[in-house]
Amino acid sequence: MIALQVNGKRVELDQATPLLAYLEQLGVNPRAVAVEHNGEIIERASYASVTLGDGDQVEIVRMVGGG
Amino acid sequence: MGRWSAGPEGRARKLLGVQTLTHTDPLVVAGVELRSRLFIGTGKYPTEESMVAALEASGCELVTVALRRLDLDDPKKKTILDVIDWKRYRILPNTAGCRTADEAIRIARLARSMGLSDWVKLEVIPDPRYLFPDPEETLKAARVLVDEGFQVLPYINADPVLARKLEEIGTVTVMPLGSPIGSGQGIQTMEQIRIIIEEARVPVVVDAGIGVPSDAALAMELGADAVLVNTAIALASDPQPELPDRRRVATELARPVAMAIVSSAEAGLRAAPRATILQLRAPGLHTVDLEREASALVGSSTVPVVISSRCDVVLACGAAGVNLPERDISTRDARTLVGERLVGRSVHSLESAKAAEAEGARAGAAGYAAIGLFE
Repeated sequence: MIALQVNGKRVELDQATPLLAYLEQLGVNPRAVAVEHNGEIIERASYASVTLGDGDQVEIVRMVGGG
Repeated sequence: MGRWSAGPEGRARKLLGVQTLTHTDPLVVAGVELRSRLFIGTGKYPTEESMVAALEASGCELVTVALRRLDLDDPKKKTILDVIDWKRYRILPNTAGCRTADEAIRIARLARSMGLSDWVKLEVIPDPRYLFPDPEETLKAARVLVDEGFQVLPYINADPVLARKLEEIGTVTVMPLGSPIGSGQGIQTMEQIRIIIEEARVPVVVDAGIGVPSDAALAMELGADAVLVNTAIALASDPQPELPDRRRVATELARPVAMAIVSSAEAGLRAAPRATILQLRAPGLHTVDLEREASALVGSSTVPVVISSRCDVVLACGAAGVNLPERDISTRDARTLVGERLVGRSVHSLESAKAAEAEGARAGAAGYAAIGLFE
């Protein structure tokens, strides 16, 4: 079991998980979000190679209506 | 009205550009041609359908969006990317919600990492009440983002010095505010915007405060290259027949010069809030009565007034210009009579419009032509 912070919330996962797999687990289209992992913006091409580990900080944003 | 007196050549020619040449005289931003001079924000719409309908009705091509944290309790919720057909619109992510340069830089980078656009509408707003942008932080963020290859469209207060500094840094537009975001108070910063337009070599987009189509028309007449509108369209009321609905507002804003033809001062004042320019045409009146109506209308209208055919009455009452019916005297002759005032001609096809424009241009002065808006 590992614990990380995603968008300010504590999230528990069974094990270290590739970012792409985590997004799929959430049901999020990876093309519709942007991700910051431990303060670093992850390009989409790297979603499969970045692994979320214990204590990581993750921010996931999406586009919404705005002026 | 001093506010609406006919301007020098450059400004009035813009008016013509808006009205007749929207599709052949594109706006170029960062090397990209945009046929529509209306940019639309996607916030505050009551439903997704109403937003899509407004976008379609407007013919706009550039649409702003914001970035927000994904809600982990509802991660599958549709996003704006699912709602809008992005083959039809160019996306302009903004940095709304950012209070400092560092926050705005971070959001801009996140937006770009989605691979949709390297354009960013830079807004750094520490003031929650009036939503005024922070000039120092905006400048700081613009430097970093331009260096990183972003196409930066900064939202600023109408400050000519700041606008020039941003242009020197390499922003692709400047976007001065007309009045506070969402206030619908129109263009309160007119004199500063006029100076920004005069000095800028990048497109000037009037952003914020536009509440009615005549505000957009004023911005364009001042010489702005485009306007950005959100609240006035998003919160336009559909169900009340007395008020313009969202689609109509979007359409009128997209074509900011909408002329109302009236036959009396009283009718003109009723029509003024919906019109961007008034034409007084009352062929049945004796000249003395026409002059009285014209003076009353010119004296109290908030939009410019042109008089149909009668150059003498234009001069007598100080109207903004004359509108010539198709078989009236030539544009050149009218120009000789009314000088730098607007000279318009009613036309009924794009070809006649271009001919009228060419005639006005040869005469070396300002004019406009209207297609199918009246008669």
